[in-house]
Amino acid sequence: MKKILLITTAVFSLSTYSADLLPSCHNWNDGSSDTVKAAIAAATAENKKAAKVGFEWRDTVKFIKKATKLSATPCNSSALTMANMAKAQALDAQKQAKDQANAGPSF
Amino acid sequence: MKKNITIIALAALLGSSVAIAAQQSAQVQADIDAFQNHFKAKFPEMDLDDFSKGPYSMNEDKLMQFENIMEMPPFEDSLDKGEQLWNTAFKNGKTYSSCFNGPVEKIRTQFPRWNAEAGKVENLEAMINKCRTDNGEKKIGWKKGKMAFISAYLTTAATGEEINVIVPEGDEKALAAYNKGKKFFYSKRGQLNLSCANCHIDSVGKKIRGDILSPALGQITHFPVWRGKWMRKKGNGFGTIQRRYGGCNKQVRAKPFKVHKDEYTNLEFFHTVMSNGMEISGTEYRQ
Ligand code: HEC
Repeated sequence: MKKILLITTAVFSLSTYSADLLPSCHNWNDGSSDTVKAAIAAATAENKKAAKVGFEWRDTVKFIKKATKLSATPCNSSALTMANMAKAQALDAQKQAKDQANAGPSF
Repeated sequence: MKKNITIIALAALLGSSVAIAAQQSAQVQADIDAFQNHFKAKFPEMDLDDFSKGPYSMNEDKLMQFENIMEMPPFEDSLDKGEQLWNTAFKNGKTYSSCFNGPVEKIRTQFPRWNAEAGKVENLEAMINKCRTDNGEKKIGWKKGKMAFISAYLTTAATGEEINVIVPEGDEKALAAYNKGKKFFYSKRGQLNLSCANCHIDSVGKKIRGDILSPALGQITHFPVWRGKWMRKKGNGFGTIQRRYGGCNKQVRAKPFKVHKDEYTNLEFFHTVMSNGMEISGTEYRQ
């Protein structure tokens, strides 16, 4: 019993240890890399298109700002996630504008 | 034909000095009828002017609370300030009234209006600021403060006056502005993908967080309003109709537009026309 417990603890601490060594950004393209910069630029460009057709969403720019801020820390995968989220919103907003082209009353 | 007779009779009544008003676009009149008939059919026990009580028209307890508050409204001082501002002379000696036609109680219902020469809609607040700049004064903020006080004073002075916004028949540009406002009203927006109509036509009377959804019909009869919510923010509780538009856009997580640009001004044009025939109820309290 004691042995099992010991092993479990050992495995557990090992796994946390490795997580510390290799945080979620072991992909060295994350963080302040070109990938993130490109994702932020793409989100910004798509959001401009959404604004131009009058359908920009409330939080998209906030996400872009947050992505930019996060990208200042090297190796931060949240920056990429955030930028991609902003871009997805901007694309949805553009689609919304198209869908609403003939909006009108139902009576 | 009947309408023509009415207009002629009206012109005769008002005297020859008043120009005959342009006739309402037939398309717009059909829209007004459909819009108002929808609400009348849905709430057959309500009279047209009952709709102006907004969320309170949908709930008796809330209506009673509202009426209690309105007996001693928390915004009386601001209305007095509005009156004072209205009557205070600019540096050149003129007052606001020099920019407007008719007595103080007849001003509110002249707006929003189509200005054919400028090719755009003018609303009351825009005219108040235009009056200032025409007289060598600086513009004042659009959404609250002094602007809202003056506008609220004029709205209260106009209590009982009938809304009659005209989109002139045969004026393509006016109709286009109206149609833009109409499209805005019916377009789903923001992350929540909801239109003004989804809440203020389809879901009237339903509860949403702590609020009861008001009918779009009659939403403009009492603006600016004084809100407890706005009181708790910077300012003193008053807000214009376009301030409210911004709030409703944000609620659905859409980016609000700048006030007094085409988007909200055309929306105000459409939104007000839909309540033609209703009375201005004076500035009111809202939650
Ligand atoms: C998610 C639902 C929702 C949507 C969409 C929405 N509103 Fe509202 N609106 C509210 C709620 C809640 C209130 C506060 C209670 C009430 O008066 O209905 C409100 C209040 C208002 C009021 C104040 C009414 C009064 O008597 O004080 C106006 C005017 C208004 N909305 C206009 C609009 C317009 C125009 C749009 C579209 C741009 C819109 N709303 C979209 C939920 C919504």
